Amino acid sequence: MPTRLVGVALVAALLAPAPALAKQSTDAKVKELVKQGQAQYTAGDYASAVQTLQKAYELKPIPTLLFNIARAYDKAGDAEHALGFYRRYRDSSPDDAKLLGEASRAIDRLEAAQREKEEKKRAEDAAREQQRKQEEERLAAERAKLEQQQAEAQKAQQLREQQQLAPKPRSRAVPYALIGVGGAAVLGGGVLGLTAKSLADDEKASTDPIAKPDLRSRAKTRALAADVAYGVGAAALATGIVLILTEPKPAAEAPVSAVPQPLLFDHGAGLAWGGSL
Amino acid sequence: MKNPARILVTLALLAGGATACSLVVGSLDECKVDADCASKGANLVCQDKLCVAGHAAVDAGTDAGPAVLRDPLCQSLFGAVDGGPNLVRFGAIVPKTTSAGTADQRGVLREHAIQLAAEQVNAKSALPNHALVIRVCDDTGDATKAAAEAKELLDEGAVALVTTGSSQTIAVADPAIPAGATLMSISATSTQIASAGVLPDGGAKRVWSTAASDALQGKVLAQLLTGQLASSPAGAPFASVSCVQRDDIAFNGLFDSVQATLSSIDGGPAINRHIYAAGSDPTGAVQAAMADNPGAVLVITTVGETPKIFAAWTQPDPVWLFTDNARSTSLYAFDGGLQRLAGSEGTGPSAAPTSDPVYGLFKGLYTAEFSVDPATSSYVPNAYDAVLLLAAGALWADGHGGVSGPGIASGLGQLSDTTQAPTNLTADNFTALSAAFSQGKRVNVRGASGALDFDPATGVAPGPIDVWALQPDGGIGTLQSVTP
Repeated sequence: MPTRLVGVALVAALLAPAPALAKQSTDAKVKELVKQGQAQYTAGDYASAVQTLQKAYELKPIPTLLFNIARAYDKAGDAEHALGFYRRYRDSSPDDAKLLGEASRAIDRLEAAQREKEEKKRAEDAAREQQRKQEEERLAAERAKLEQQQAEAQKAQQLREQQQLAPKPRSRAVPYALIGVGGAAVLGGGVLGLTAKSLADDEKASTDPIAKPDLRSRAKTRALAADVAYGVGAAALATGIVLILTEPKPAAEAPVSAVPQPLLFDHGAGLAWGGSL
Repeated sequence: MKNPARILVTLALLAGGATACSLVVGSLDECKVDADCASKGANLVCQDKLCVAGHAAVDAGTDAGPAVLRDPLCQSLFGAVDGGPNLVRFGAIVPKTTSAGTADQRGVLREHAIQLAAEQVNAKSALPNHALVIRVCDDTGDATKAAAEAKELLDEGAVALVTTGSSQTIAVADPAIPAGATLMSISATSTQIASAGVLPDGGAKRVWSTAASDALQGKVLAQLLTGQLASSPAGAPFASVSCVQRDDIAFNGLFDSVQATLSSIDGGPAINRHIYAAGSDPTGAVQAAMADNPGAVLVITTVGETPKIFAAWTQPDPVWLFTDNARSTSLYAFDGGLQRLAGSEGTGPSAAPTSDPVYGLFKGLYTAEFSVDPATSSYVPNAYDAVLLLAAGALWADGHGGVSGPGIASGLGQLSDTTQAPTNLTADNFTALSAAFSQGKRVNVRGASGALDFDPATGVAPGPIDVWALQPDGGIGTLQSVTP
């Protein structure tokens, strides 16, 4: 049993972590990682170099590693992370004045680039905002113009509709022609009537059995024609006169107003119509 | 299992050696709090009951902590590489490799010139009480990459940057000007350079170039097309001219310059331009140009894209004309290229005359250090001059409020007083420059790349333009040097 216990104790001791070896192992691991990170950086694989150097820094927080991580980020074009790590290096109070100066200049450079980028973005935003406003103003102006055009079109349409609804003035040629034709017909009827009267007189005066019937026939014919002419002429005259008298007034003209006005006199009273034309 | 007691003893010994608690030596715990470690050494902390070094001393590769991550393309450091007080820090961005990953000799040789200038400045103590350090990045000819690298250089503290071509320089100016840095280009010729880096407050211009402007190159191209130069190609003046152009800010400026000059010439032909997007298939533009049935075609694009244009051109070849971007043997690097293009002409800013004493001094130093002739590639002396010009600007600024990007820019405006006798732009002569500056005088420097008579308002120096031609043997010869 004692021999077995000693054996177990020895095996346990062999398997237990050895601090000195662990320390040496950590240093060796850091060296290996730094070497690997440098190789990756040299090969231009900056993203991998960053990861490797960060692992090394986690094992051993050596300030120079912060600078190297910053540089790898810088080379990769990641200004934001580069700036962060350069600042961390600066804030770690490193002893290397030259490297500190280098980090400070890198910080100045990256901050200036960041400012320039922000200013450029602000300028672009301002330009976009200005462009947006101009576009809005243009659209508003176009909308207003369109609305004005629509209003004008609507107004014109309404006017057209009003004009279509309003009675159109009739041509005066027709009534005057009717009056003329009617007058001529009446005049012709008169002439025919006189002729018929003359023939009738001749018929009455004649006793010639041959001529008399002929005169009567001719007098009848002329009298009929005179009657037709009188009738047509009178109808035409009346129609013409009616048309003239019933012609509508223009719509734009103010309507004639007529108001009954009572009139009082010393010896009586009356009613009169007055108004404006 | 024959002797269990022996096995158990062995296990006990192993366990004692491997764990904190040993049956043999007792507890191995050292501490409970950090103060318990004070007697064991400096900078020790208690962790897991053991005294260990503090966090700062733990790193992946060195005892000083993990290395700071640098762009892998920005590892070259010249001048005062060990640091020190009163450092003046410059940066440089040149294409040392191509996008395909092969070496780009243009950038490599220019980097040598930059290194030489930095070493000269420090060796001669050209900047009293200061040491110059320059980090050089490789942008692989990619302007976007150059701008990203510039940010890292500026973060590190660079007050001035040396740049190369027009597109790259304009891209780098974007982060550099707000950060207060001054740029000096080796080879930017775009008309855009004259307006780049001009400050609204009227401060000194911040973007400069040692290369002659495309405004001058455009004039010479127009003169070639209208037969006004001895080196004008056969067939000039041309009745009809087309242009196939890559859409690029610098190339647009060059075309505008050609067109403006043609329209100012009596009887000058109209020029029909057909543009294609950078990096895209130029076939559509080429077909439109073919439909013009032109006598001459001006090609304004990168040398890497010219083969696509020739592949799409299915008619008999017209007279081809090129710009400085095509002044390379890569121009005919396609099947039958040399046969088709031999005799074709182009323009480009003139290289420094090899007989010039300032160039001679530079060449001697360069060749001694790098065992290569700087004339092997273009704009190499311009790279040397660019660093020395910025250093001279820093010298002036040091006496006028301190070295800074804006101070260097103001200093550059003091270097091209053509009423003064020329002073060779070498590190040795900085003492003389300093003396003149301290007396409030302006100076007139002359560099390895030429006169460097800058207009402070544009940051550009005029210079002669070469008319070059592709020789049947594959070489590129200079037919004529024109001062527009």
